[in-house]
Amino acid sequence: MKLILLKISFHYLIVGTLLVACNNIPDCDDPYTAELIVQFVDSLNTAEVETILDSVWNSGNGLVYVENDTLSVLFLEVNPVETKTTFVFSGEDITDTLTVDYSQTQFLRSELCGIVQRFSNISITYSTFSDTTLVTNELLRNTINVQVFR
Amino acid sequence: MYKCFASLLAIALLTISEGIAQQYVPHTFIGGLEFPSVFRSLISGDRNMGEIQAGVNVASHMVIFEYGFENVKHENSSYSFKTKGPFFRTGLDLTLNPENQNGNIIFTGFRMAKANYRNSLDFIAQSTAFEDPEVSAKNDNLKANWKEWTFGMKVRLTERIMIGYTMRYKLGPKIKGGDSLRSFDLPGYGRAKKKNNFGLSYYIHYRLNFRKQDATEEELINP
Repeated sequence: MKLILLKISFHYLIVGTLLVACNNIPDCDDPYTAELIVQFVDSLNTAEVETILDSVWNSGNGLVYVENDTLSVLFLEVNPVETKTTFVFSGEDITDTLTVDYSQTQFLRSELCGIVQRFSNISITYSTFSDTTLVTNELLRNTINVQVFR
Repeated sequence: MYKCFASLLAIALLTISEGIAQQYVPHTFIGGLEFPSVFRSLISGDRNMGEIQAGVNVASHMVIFEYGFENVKHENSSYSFKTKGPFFRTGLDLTLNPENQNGNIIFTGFRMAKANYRNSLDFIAQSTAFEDPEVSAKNDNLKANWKEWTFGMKVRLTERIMIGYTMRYKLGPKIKGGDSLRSFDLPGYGRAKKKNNFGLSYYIHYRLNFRKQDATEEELINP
């Protein structure tokens, strides 16, 4: 009887070990992004307002992010090689420039997941908008970074 | 965990002081080579390492110095992460069987370890707006320290040659530097993000008795 119990325990141990070992799939999701999220808001009640945009482009390399669109939230990728990116906004009642500075941290998350690049210490160093607020100073998914009051 | 180390240190100091008072005879020097690392370096292009050990007896125990280097490379099509540098360890091995007559030793001890290293990263950032942006980052002067608890055995093969292993429980790594590029490996420690780590070193030792006139025969056999 003892021998049978011992054998059963041993089998459970082996199966348990295999289950734990096989469940070792890494989760490569991370909250970081390279996109600066800019939101246009009403200066009176901070409600989102849609803005007619002819174009939004990167003044460094001329890269166009938005063309002939009406948006309230913009996802603008910062230059991953530099520590500063300048965006130019052009639209029906808007011709403005916004420059953000940031620092980068790189790390190897795991050999399978690869490199993670994190942008933090965001600061608005130049803006021609009448009123802007830095909401979050790190680029994170689904997190507003800059509010532009209109 | 630090209390554990403090207790171990206190026991070690008490044992040594007692040993010194009774029979301080520094008569034996050992030099060792961690030999599996040599073979690992030969067969793996991504990890080169080597390690040597030296020790001198204090009573029946050994003060240990270890020096090694480790070059680690992680690469695929989008990134190359390299870490390179030497590491040093110093500590004490307390002989648990000083009465043993055949020269085989079981020991436990501790190490204070330090690494001076550098790392570098080249990678292509994931970008939808920029075309294959190549990013480089490096740290030239990184420092790390940690502690180790050790346990092991040494077996006499001949009068002068010994072979043995050291098991290491490494803990408390502290890294100075590398704010923009975080360390992935620490030479001599392993993965930097692990708060504790295990290690196993196999050594072949050469033993040199340099003060035969002061040592008793028993001490020479069983330093």
